[in-house]
Amino acid sequence: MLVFIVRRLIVSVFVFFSATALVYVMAANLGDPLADLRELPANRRENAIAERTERMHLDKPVIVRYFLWLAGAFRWDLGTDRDGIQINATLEDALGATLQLVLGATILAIVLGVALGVISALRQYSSLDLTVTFSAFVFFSLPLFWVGSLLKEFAAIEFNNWLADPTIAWWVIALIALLIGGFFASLLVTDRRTRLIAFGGTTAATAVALAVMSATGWFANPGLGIGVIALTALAAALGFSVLFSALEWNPVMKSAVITAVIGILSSVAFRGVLENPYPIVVIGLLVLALAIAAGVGWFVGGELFRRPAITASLCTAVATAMVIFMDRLLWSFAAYSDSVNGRPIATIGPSTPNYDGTYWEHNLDSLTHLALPTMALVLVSLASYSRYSRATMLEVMNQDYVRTARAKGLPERAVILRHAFRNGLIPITTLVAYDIATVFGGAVVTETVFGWRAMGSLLLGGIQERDPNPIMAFFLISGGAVVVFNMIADIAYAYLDPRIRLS
Amino acid sequence: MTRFGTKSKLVAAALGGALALSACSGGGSSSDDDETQDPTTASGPSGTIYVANDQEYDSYNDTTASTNSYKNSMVNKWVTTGFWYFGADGSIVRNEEFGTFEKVSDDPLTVEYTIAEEATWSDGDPIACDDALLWWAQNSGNMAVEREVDVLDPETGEPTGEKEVQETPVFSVVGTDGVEDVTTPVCEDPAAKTFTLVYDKPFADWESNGPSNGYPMMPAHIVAEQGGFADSAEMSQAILDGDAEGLKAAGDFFNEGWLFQGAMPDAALMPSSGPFTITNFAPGESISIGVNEEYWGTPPGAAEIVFRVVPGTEQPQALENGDVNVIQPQPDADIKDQLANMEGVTLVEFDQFVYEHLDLNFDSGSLADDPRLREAFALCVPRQQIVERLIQPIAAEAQPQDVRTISPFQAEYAESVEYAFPAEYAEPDIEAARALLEEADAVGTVIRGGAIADNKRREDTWQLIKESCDQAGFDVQPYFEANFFDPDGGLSQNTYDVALFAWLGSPQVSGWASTFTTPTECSAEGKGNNNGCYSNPEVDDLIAEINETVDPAAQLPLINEVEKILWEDVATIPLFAHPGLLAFSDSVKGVEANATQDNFAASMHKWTVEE
Repeated sequence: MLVFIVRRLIVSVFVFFSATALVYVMAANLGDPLADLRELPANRRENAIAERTERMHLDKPVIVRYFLWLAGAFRWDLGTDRDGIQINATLEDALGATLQLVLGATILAIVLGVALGVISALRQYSSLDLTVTFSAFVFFSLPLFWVGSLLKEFAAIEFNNWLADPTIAWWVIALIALLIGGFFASLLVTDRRTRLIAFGGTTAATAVALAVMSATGWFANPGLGIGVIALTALAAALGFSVLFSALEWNPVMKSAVITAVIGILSSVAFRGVLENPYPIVVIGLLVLALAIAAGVGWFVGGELFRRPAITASLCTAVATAMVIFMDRLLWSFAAYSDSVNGRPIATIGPSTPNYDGTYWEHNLDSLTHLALPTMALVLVSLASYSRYSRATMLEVMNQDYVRTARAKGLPERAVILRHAFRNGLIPITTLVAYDIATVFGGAVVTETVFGWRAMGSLLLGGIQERDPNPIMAFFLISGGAVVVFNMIADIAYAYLDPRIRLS
Repeated sequence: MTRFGTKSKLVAAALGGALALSACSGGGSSSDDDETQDPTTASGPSGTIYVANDQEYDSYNDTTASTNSYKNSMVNKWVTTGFWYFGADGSIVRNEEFGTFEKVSDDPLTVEYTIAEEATWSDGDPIACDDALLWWAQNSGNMAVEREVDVLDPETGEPTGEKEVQETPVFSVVGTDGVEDVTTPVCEDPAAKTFTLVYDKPFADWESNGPSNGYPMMPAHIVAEQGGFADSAEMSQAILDGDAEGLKAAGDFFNEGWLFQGAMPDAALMPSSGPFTITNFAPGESISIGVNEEYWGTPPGAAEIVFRVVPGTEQPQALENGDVNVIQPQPDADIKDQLANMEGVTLVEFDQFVYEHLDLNFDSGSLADDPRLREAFALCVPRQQIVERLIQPIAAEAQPQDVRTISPFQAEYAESVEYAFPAEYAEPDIEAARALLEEADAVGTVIRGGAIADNKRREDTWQLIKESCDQAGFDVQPYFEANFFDPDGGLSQNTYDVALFAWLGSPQVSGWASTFTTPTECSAEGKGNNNGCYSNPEVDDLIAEINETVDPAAQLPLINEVEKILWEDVATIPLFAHPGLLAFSDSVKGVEANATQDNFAASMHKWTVEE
């Protein structure tokens, strides 16, 4: 293994160096870096050209400029762009913005995509599977800039207009309710009667909820309230204990429910603290919640159920914390919306400039700015994950050991989670590692459409201005990430799949 | 609001969503402390106006060769001010709050500038002769210094460790027109409030040559402090002594010290001499200017103007959603329709100081030798049709531009057209063009029509010219090069017969003089702006005379005479002024379209916003 890593590293370094030389030469030959100055009036042209020539060493041959750059790069001094701005500072900002913009979206796309893929594999050829497949392909084939423009028009401009008087027409309520009802009914694999009941129940409940929200103007001034928090927390406790154990009143479920109740009570107790906390306080509270949950799991689980009890409690605690967090955010929504002239969903940039508000309002500000680009990125990249995980899942489900597991009487839940899902995930690691690597390259189109200045715009700006230094900075990070994560993928693969040997 | 450093932001982002969201936190500041002014009781500046800037601001000093671009000047326009700025139609508007100036003598041309008595930088230092001396040292460009640069091994390209010296200006400057002829120091006493520019020879554009909102005086006391001088009086003495070597450190700071290297330089280094001052900078996002409390003149209308980085194509939707309030998008028929249909948005169409024209090649090619062919070409170019088909969808009122050096929105335009424009070129006359061609026995003459590639409008323009001129007996062959403007491209190498491109117009004579003056040598380097190497001694003499005519009123007849000859020779064929679009939220008042490069920024101090 070690030999493999060392050999791999040495080869990568050589490949990477020759790649930098290649990219530099290509970048330096993109065109005339003085083109924009040549159109200046005669009296201003000469000085500008002289200054840029000196700054970019244009009087020296390309190979000399490359070694100049390389010498600097070894000292982590990436030079300046054509206007004299240091690339190191630009790169740091761009990388920070890229991680903010793309990392969350990528993780969301992975989680959602894999979940959708697994569900549609388990319900192969059902209407749910067909719908997921169809929409995944539709979104996959949409150009990002167009999705971006549509989202801006409908999810931002029209949505903000609608928020001024947030009532929903009866037929829209009916349509949404039918869709949600249909989705839940198609998740179930039972007889027609039960499915009809599920469909009717969900549809009716959704319709009533929407009608009430519409009538009370909930969307303009939202919030969850203690009732919804309690319901969600208990539902989470129930769900996680079923997932990690079984549907019975055993220590696992006991500890999860106790955790949920503590969470509900503390949401009331900490109301004052959460009015406008420092970020560190919020993180501290989360850590405290996790510690309490682990303790509850430890004591209530006892010898026999300790592990599943702790896991279920921790998951319940996180879910409850998230609901409380959500509730606080929503309570602040009206005030936030008011502070940005009643137009909360933004179409450009990572934040409202010079925004001054509470902790919650700042979070809302980031969220409302991230909403559109995240939606666009997730929609477009959902397909590759859901298709890939559906395929691997189907393959695994047809393996002999899955049949064996069923034959020895394991519950279906254990067969799927323990035996099928884990093995199905192995091929996806390659995809995920590679996609995380490309995260560092930013998202050129998304950044442009939503007015972010991140890695993609660094590259694009460099190309448009025929300026090699920003291009090289981009390449150092994105190319380096690809090399490193590819290696990580190989190692992880060997670790996860014992059939593969690296040496 | 607490601003965390970039590093912590990066770390936070890496840790994941929840933390990233808290990177910029308002923790601690309680929501009930109300800093904002109550608009009902406050009479001073109020409200925030968001402006779209499609590139990122990067320097407080936009007077150097490499920082002089609109992304910087739009922000700095009312931060560092001067004696004048360009009005909406390119006329010179005097900024009397900053100071006054007048011509006190014609021979030698002498202009006296008086800085307002109460004028001070926002850090309290009086604006005075020391600043003027620095401005003069920069703009006269007569001080050069040798700076060390790395010597490279010609074989490997590695730095050899040795240094070599190259001559560079101490203070980087955009252009030295006019001020280079001011060889006597503008003043002696660093604390004086008046200074004079004494020109060695008459200079036509003297009125638009002193420190302005566009090319302001920079704070000498800051440059002196950063350049290692005890005070600015000492630096003033060094400038008076012509001690270029001693000013080197000051020059280094002047040229690079005000660059925004991923963060705002110390605010103390960037004092304001206008109604606004730079208040905040978020890399990749925005730059903000707020009220300068120390300003001695009229306070601005808005309390804060924030320039957000928004790519051009995304600006209309950002305006509709209220993310920005003022945009100046690319003039395009679709964008215009989109903006015209928005509610709560005011759309203004205006002419820019940029005009599209055809440059004829007088040096080589098919039209170089016979004036009859050039006349025939001018007769067949469908100027009216080009404007109707390509420009009127954007600017309904657009008409062809009939003279080159005066734009349609300028007061003198009508008079100039009346005098100089030959009526036979108003509409294409195919018959007359054909007759001329037949007379010259040149039916079938090939015209290679060049333009930059990937510009739809220029491709369409050439297509319309081809349709019309082919009927007259020419064989028009349009071609489009990506490197058309490059030194190895068609325009420099004169491989075209007729070139189609735009010139930046200018209310200043010195802005266009070289375009029509006989070049020293007809080569890529020697011909300057006179791409076709047009030459007419009569025009040369007239331009020289205009350049030395200091009375603006006396310039016009001479300019008209030049225009008349240019039309007689068909030196170039002007087509139309570029249309511009300006759009802003109805809640913002006082935004004015401006034909010059100052654009809407010229009116920024008067903007107000309803809250």
